[in-house]
Amino acid sequence: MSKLSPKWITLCTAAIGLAYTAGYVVTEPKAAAVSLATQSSVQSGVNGSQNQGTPNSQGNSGSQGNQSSQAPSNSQSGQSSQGSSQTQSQSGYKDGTYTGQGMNQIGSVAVSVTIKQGKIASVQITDCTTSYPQSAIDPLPAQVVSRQNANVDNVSGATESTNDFVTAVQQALSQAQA
Amino acid sequence: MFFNEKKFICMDTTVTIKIVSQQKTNKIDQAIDEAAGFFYKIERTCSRFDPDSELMQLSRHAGKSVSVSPLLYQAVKFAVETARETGGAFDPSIGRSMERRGFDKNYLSGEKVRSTFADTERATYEDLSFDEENREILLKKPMVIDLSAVAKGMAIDVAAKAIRDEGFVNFIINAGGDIYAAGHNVREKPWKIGIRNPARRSEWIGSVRLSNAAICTSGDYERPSKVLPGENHLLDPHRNQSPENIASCSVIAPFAMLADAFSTASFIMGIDKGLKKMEEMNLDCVMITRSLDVRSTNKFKEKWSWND
Repeated sequence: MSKLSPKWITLCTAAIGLAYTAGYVVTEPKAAAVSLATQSSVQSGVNGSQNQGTPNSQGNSGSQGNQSSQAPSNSQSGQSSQGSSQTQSQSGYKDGTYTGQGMNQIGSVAVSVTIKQGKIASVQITDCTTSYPQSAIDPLPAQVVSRQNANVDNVSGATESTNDFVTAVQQALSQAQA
Repeated sequence: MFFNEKKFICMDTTVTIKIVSQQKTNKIDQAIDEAAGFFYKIERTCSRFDPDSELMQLSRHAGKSVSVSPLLYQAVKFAVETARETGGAFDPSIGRSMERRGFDKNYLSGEKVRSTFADTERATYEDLSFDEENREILLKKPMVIDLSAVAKGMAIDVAAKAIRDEGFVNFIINAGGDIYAAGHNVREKPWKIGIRNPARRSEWIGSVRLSNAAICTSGDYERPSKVLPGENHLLDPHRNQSPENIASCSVIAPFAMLADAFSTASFIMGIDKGLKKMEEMNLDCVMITRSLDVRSTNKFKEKWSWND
């Protein structure tokens, strides 16, 4: 996605963060589940049993074997051919430096992501005001660079900070999408 | 790959949440229920159809600065910023006009609302002012604030955050056609989203592929006015009527609340001005005219794998 102005990113992030913090209501008579389905799929998937780090098209690390490093061409519907439908987001990052922010009840994490030649070249934590020390999430920027996506390992005991970091990186990457 | 899906009624529409996961786990159900809880909470706070909602309590207190919850503060603030951005094409102060146009029935209770307290003066979004420090909102004139183009998008975004926080990255939230699609579908492809043909509503006029993005559509066919023939729920506050020529407007954005508010706003601004505004903001937009021409922002079709 092209660059959205920081003003709107801040407005949305603040609204979502604060509404989330406000919590939810548990009981609601209308909350009947109309349908409930569990299915297994025949897709074997190349990446087996990775925990939550499923290929996320924010720029997945090629688990579908798509080698194209150019901005993918138009309107591939990928209906039938395996691996052709990771649309523009696979590798179409625009060079530049982008910022993002994630927040929770107790603070926020801000990052700056630099894209060079369409790839995530570096990630910096520019601000960390969570209750955990920044050192808890220090290993995460390197994971983003090596995996070329925001699917980092969870840091035990610092889930919130990790989530904020991921949100921040995703936000930056969404701006970097060509 | 497993998925689990639940539907529930909220905000006068059916909400469907589907989570795709590597493992079969009870956590999916819990995450969906929690996400639904956020929908209910936001509906309860932001409904103009419930006289007891925090929104309506604020609406009834024109003339003095009212301390409000962070949720309501942010929702109203966002609506007013959207109004400023669009020069009032989008205006959250139109609640009472909407009531008069027949959009006055609480879908849960069936009761009609009639906020005559707002009839004394004609208000606009410029009659709302904010005290950031004390989290207070002041209505300089009596009005009914309408957050219907903000609350649903906001609920989708908050629900998405809740599901992400439970560790899921592949899911879709569909609230009556306002959608956030995260990660990929069960076939490990970006989610395919159809855009309805305004003339033949069971058919698509095209589709897009989304991953970690929201799409919201405003359509003139969706909620016709029961009071005024030919009019619908989309109101141009400057002309006090529904826009002509345009049948539907879909906006793709990183946040559902942006897509929701600006699909409504650019629908009202009309084809040329609306598309121009979306280009300017770097949002993506496709509009269908009444004669079924497809108009979109630059590169929309390449970017989102448009398929017609």
